[in-house]
Amino acid sequence: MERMVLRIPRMWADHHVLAVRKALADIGIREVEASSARGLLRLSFDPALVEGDTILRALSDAGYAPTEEIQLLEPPANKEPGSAWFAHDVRATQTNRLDLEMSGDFRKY
Amino acid sequence: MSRYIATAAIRGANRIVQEAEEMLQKALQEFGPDAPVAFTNTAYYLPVILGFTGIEVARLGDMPRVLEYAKGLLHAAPGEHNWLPYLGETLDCGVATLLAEELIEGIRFVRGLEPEPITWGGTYTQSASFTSPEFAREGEVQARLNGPIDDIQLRAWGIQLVDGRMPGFAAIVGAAKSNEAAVQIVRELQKRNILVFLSGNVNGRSIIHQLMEEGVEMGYDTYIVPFGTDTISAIYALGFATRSALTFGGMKGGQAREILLYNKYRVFAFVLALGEVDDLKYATAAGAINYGFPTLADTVIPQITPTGITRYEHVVSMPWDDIPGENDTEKARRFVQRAIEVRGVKVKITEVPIPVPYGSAFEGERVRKQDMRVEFGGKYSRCFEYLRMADFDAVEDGKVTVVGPGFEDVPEGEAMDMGIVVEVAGRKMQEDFEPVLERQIHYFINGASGIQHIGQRDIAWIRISKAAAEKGFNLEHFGKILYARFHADFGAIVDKVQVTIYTDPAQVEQWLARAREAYNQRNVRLAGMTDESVEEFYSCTLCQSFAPNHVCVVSPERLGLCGAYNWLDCKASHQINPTGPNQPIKKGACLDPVYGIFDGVNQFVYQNSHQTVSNVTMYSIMRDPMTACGCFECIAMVIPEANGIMVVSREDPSMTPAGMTFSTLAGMAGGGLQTPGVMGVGKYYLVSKKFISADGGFKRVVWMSSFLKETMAEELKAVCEREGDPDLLDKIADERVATTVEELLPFLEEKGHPALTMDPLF
Repeated sequence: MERMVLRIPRMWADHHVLAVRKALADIGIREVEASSARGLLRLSFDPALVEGDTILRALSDAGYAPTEEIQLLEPPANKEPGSAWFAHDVRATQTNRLDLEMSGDFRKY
Repeated sequence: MSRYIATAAIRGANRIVQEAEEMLQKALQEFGPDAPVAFTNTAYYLPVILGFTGIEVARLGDMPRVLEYAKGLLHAAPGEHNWLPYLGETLDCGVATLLAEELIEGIRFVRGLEPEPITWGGTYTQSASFTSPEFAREGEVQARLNGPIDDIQLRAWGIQLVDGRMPGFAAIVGAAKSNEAAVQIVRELQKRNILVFLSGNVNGRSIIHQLMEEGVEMGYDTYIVPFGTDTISAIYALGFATRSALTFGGMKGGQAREILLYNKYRVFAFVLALGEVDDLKYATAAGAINYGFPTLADTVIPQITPTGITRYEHVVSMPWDDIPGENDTEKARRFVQRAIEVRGVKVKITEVPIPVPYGSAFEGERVRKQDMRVEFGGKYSRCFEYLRMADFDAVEDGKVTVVGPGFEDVPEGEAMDMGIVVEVAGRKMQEDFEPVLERQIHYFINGASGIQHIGQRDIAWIRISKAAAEKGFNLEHFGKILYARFHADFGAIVDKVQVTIYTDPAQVEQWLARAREAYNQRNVRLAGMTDESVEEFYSCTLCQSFAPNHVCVVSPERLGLCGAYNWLDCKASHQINPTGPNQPIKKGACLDPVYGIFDGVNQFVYQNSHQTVSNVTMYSIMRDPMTACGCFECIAMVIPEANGIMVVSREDPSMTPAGMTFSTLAGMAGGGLQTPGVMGVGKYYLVSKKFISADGGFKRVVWMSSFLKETMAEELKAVCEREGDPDLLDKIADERVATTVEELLPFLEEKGHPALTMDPLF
């Protein structure tokens, strides 16, 4: 058995772990440790049954090419006055009645 | 605030919003903008989106607006140096995450991927108590998980959520360290009657798989709801929270601030992150923090301990191996206990000295024939339960006696006769409370894991599972349960409790005859109890914790709209807790005997509804009808064209002649609003002589859910005879013959329904 450790930045959440495991299971690889917190994949495989390149191709085909970074299409800018963030809510200058009612005793302390 | 958490949450939010956008673009190309989008049986569209933005997503084409909104909430992660405050940014990104997650689930529904199919082994069988057993497609070998909870179940749980029986919910994300730990954590939550929502995975393995492998029964009945095996499905937990505010709090979509505050103060929920925490889990937790829901992790992560958005700590790390305790059971207890402290949940548990776990969450557990050790009642034997008041001296507190043989000699899977006789004494005990207390036997016995109780009086049916019997459960334990629970729950009226279990055939015979005599006497007494025969009604403001302006007025002939409290229940409840939600209301001067307008009732309702409802009639749907919280069993609504009313039950998801389903109608009937022509009612109010008697009574009913017709066939038949029209039930349409007014009217004319010739309603 050979071991392989890959960094897969696109595997950043647990639904991606499911997708990666499925892609590997489809080519017969089941000994997999996938960490979405670290974007790391460890797997064992029998070189007589499956080649390393096949594994890499299967991952790439599923959209999880090793070391391929995530590109945000529109990186968010820091918010400026006039942006949607500031237009989101009317600025209140008085405590909302509901706040007072709902907070009840908490207000006293 | 932890910069590490903020960075991870903001990063996760940006990524998931982008993923949602990519998925949406593809779905729009594939299905077009008019493809319908809907979660199962809900009137609240995609509820989190509705709550935050007021946007009603009903088709794919409605989604881009939501996506733009979510993008507007995204921020850049905190820089490496010169940090600016980032709490607000993190919380905003949390909301953006929730919106994106809900969009993704909506798209998955369009693609038929939700509720999620599951093929893992174990003992998992799809429970009939799930939202959507119909989602399992023909020829599909695997089962499906629950997906979102539907409105019907939310309302059915309403009363338990408000009266504290169900203190809150725990959203578990990920997988526990071991199967044993997973089971213990869930059992600890179940013991405290906390709803358990499951989602997420670690390395492809979810707590759902762990519980399946251990044979833990999942479903609405056991308070364990598996949403999906990824973190995205955790959005259903927040959808549940949002809908609580919309359903019971009378809030509307778009009142984001109010909905979040409502949840902070009224919905006791928390997140348990089991296993490693990735960016999406941080981002989703940031979304949950907006609701005031803290997160506890069983791994080492940074903590956020100052108070602020949540009531106490925001994020707490409790590494599993560091939790003191000899085994996973002890660690699980401490872990759950800490979660409860962090959220500030008030939990009351009663220690019951029996060899199996005990709690309300086990109430719905079924014992299947093949798992059964022995049964009492049902087809093959007799079983009854009888509670009576006795003299102080005749009752020995805590005494449990078994008269006759145990079930040791009964072959496995067979039945035997049994009678449970409970004798209680107390200074405040009254004969009227006997049936109220006797009815509790069902809930009390059912609370034991591995014991199933169905029915009451002389049609009780109890099963003991092999597992419970192996753990040492015997007949005496029924007595121990009843003794502990009656003292804990009814200590104010019950001072002494003695239980005798009869299995000796001659004794069973003798006590059954006595019990039947008592049942008959009670029936006669209850039938003779009318609104006119009492001086006071009772209020029920239990639901004000959820619907602040609603007041239920419960009279002998009109039970609470949730069906859980009748006049005697309220009377007993007042004795138990004199300052509680059930207060006596002096009727005062009767201003109108036909409509049921009482001076005292009006004054009480005005004061207790925070001056929002000044007049209420007891017997009319048209004039100042009683308000409703949201827990109603049925909705009555006027159908003007038919000069009558329809009654739709919450179990009925079909379309009604009003052009709306139960869930949509519920928005008009609930939240403490007084809407003439619409009223939330308990189903047994339908058989009362006072059922909308000012408007013509039961003869006004032109349409009724078939569920009611079938489950209450005997009672309704008696009502029809009382009304002088024995065939009336057949003249009432249901969803099988009419779902529009156009279909309804010819049916009524053909059958000659009396409503058509009654005085006009308007």
